[in-house]
Amino acid sequence: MPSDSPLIGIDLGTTNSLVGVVDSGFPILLADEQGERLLPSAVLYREDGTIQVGREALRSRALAPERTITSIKRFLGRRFSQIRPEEHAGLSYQLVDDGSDRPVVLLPCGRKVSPEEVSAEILGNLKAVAEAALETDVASAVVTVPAYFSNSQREATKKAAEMAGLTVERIINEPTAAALSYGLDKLEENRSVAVYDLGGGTFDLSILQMREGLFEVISTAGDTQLGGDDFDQAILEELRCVLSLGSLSPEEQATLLAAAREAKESLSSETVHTVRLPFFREGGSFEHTLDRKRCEELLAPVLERTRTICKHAFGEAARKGVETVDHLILVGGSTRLPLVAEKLRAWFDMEPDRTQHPDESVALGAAIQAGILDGQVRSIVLVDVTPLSLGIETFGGLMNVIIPRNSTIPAKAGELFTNAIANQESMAIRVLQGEREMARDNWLLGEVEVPFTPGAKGSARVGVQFSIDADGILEVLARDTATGEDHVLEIRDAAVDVDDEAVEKMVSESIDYAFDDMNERVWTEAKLKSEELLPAVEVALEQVGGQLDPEEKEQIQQAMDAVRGLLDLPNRDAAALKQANAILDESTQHLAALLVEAAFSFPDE
Amino acid sequence: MPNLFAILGQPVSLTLNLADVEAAWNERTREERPDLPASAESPAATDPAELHRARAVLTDPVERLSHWLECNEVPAKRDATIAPDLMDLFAELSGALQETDGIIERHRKSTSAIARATLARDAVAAQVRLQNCMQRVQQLKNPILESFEKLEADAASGSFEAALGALAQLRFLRKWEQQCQDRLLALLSF
Repeated sequence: MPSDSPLIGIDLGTTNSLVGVVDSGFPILLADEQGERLLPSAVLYREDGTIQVGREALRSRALAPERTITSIKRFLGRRFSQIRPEEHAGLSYQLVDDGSDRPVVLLPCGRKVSPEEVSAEILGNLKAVAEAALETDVASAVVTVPAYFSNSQREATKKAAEMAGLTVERIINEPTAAALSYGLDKLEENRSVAVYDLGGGTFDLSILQMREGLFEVISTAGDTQLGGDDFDQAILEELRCVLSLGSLSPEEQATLLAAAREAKESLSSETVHTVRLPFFREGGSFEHTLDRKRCEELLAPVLERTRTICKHAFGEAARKGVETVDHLILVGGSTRLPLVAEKLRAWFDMEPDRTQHPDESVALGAAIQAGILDGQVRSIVLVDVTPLSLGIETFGGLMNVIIPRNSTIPAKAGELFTNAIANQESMAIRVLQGEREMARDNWLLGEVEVPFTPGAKGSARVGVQFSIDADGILEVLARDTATGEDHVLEIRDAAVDVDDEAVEKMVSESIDYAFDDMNERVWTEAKLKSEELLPAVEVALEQVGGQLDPEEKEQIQQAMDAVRGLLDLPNRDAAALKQANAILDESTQHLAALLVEAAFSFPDE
Repeated sequence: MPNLFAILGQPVSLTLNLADVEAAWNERTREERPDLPASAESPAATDPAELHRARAVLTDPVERLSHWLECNEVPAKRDATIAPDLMDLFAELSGALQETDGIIERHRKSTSAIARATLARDAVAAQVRLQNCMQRVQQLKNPILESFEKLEADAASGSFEAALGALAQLRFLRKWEQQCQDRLLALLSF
């Protein structure tokens, strides 16, 4: 639909956002008045009520951490109860429940802003950048989301764009967009690519194939809570421990996070980096030197999580007949770390392709998709998949899959429902998204009420059609088989009707905790950990202890004795036990690796 | 349900050439442009979701058999039982799944590297056991898939009993395969 106002492509990122457009057949990114294309995804809510977005907002983080909102994408379209304690711990601002299980930012002035509103500020800024650069009004956009985003997260993204005055013409998956910008000039016929997209807060791996002008996503897998933020957090934790900083105020948290990020970036090119924290707190300045090896040790566990996800996607692609990939493309700011390419080379025995600009590739792809939609780009047909299985809850709390993951979209599937009792007027169906067998382990999208024409038991039949559109968004249609009438069923948010008993239990538990002796709780947790560690270490020493040098063995023995000694002591010293556990845990890392190695070298004899 | 064979211009047959199905889907998808917004002037001749479903059904032997029966207006059988030669596998599989779930649960609850490492040996054993099950699933599946030609011949003389039986067994086997795959994927993250 060519029209006067141009269709723009937007990459709404966790850390940075960009906007692009197709100009005379070529995708380009648009710059602001300072000539910057990259807009930090940071929003500052000033005390006087004014709002600042981008670079300036980011600069204010150390001064006004509680009013500077960053990484908001992590919370878009999620439920408050899904947010893990460690995610809260990593924030400089306060995130609270709005009363219906949705997270909202609580500003110091008491004002609450939703993740959609914060995202809308960023999108509005990008819209203004595009309008200034193109010298015309902009009303619609293609917006990218992580491939593994659920229905709710996609809906929330769309809503944020609407709040910013943008109609979303298409939601496109980030790795697909990156593949599009790579594929436009580089991909030959009958070749397949894997896009490894590690951003600030999300990770996706998608496998695509090009056949006769048709660009098809074969499989995708990901984690919407895994990214560069986790690297920063791991380094922050290390600094907090080695410098014995204890608990941090929001300002200290922000300063330390900035230092951690700087260390990560510096160690991508240097071999050592000294973290300096002058006048960090009353007690003085702090300094710590980190080398690349230690940094990589800290980051390795996070990267290891991406490996499992890659295996999932490769496994699914193989099942669909794509057994090998020709190129492995890296995108996303976090793939700048040399360790990423190094690990991928070792895991998959192929050279990662780093020709794509890690920050800009997705936005360029969004611009190309916008160009395809308004007819400016030569004929490429893009076909994507849905990342998560869609299903409904059945008897026994099981999930019954209706549209399996990695189905080509748009996708449709029908299900027939019958009234179980006479004159039943409706039934409620819980709609789920996810891969787990038990309904409760999956993402609850909401409930739909299927209406029946009253009649004898088993007489009323309603066909319900679940369809996922090209944006990956769900629509539920009911067809009355008697009248042949179709209507859209509303997907009601089921979060608000948590049953009273559960609420009561949650309330009474929290009261119990409040009166609990803190030392007692820490002790109980620490004791459980000791009880897990001691027998495990004994088993490991028995099996592979011979491979350790005597010095290391002695060290482990001492660590075990320390834990045992504290457990036997009549005075319960919870802090000391926790510390002793940590030492034992740390000193047995090598032993654990040996044990795993042994398990894999003698499989089942 | 509409005839999905017809949507991709294929005969209603169990023994399709899969490359033809893929080629037909590719061509129709490029014609229909499911990636563009539907325009009022040129509405899509076929719902793109139907095109994708047709490909998914026709390229999957179990779904193809099921849809073929539907097209031949054979009513589905409700009370399927596990055939005797599948029973042994069923017993072994139940054991293997239960064992694996136990290991996965213990792994999930462990908070230290050393405790997780002590589970590695059991995990490797469970992996082997599951892979053996998968192999046996394949072995039982293959002769049924190879009998498709014969099922078509039977159908020509009006008999669909064998086809219904084959579908029931294939459904069990596929479910088991899926369960093994899920557990194997879970073990990957160890």
